[in-house]
Amino acid sequence: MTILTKPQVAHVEAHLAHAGLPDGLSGELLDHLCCAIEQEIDKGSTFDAALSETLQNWPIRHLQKLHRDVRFTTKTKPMLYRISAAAALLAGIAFLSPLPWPAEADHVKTLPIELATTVNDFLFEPPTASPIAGVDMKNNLSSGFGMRTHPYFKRKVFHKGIDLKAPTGTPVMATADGQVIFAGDDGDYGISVRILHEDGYVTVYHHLHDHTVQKGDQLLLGQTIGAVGSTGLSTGPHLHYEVRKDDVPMDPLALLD
Amino acid sequence: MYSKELIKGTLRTVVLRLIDREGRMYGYQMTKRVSDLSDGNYKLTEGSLYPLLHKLVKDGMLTTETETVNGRPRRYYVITAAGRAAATDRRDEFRRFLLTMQRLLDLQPE
Repeated sequence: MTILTKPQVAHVEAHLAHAGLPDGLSGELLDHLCCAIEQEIDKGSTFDAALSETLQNWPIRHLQKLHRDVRFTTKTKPMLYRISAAAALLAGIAFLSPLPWPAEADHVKTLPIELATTVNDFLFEPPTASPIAGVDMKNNLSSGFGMRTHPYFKRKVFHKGIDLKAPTGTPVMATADGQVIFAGDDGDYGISVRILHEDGYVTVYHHLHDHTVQKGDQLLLGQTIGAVGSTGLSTGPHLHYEVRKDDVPMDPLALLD
Repeated sequence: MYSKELIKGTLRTVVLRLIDREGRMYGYQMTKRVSDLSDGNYKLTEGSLYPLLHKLVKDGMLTTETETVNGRPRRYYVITAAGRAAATDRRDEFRRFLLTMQRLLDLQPE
């Protein structure tokens, strides 16, 4: 039975430190990864080979996803149940109350519906990451979501996504796990990638310089899909980024709050 | 290897039963035990195991004990009375489910 030495454990610890996990989970995963490495060594592997294989199976984004999943099942989900229960109760009271509703009652009646929408919005985490690593979407906006004057046609049209300024060649990444449903030239939109996520979310990336993923590829959050460019009807290098839910465009910045 | 859906639907039953039988276990030990018992067909991924364990602790089915083993802290999960009751209930339910499936799918022992 192999037992890792302190310096060997420190290698694993350093890797975990990159993920920025809370101490409890980090310590637990440290033991898990060390056990996995020890077993590989027992099977005849060297420490270096076992370490590199184990860490490859555990990239930072997997660790972070695990942390999110733990948080979701232990905190968010129970909270959602409480919100739905409260919403149902309010709806019940509003519905069963024999009083004729005065004008102000409208407020009470709509409340449960608002809460219910909130619940639906949060059941699956919508894509909230920035498509350009380390770049805050709000600070690098060159054109927001909604009505605007089109830079090419000079008339008012609805802008279905946001434009982020970035130099040509800046890597663009998937903002949530999903499957590529389109990758290629999309006419006026230039080289584009579309990714289908859980629960009817689709993210769209236009005017790319190139794409490094293909239709059908399964992607993880943070995986590079291509680079910023100015292909199609574009006046300069930028990324047009859209989030759609059931084919309705949403403001990606609104999802952040 | 079994499909994700089947594993998702049975994970809680399997984990509760394992810890119930052993009294206490740690994460890696569970993945190893499940893999051995199922000849590698039932893949208990860490990505689903740890969120479940933390949830079961929160629900009072398990408690944890930390001990230093091989020079590093190891977190053991210990079953509570409520956990034992849930493990038994789930196991019984699954037994009935198996018999129902046997009839529904017209399965004959090979």
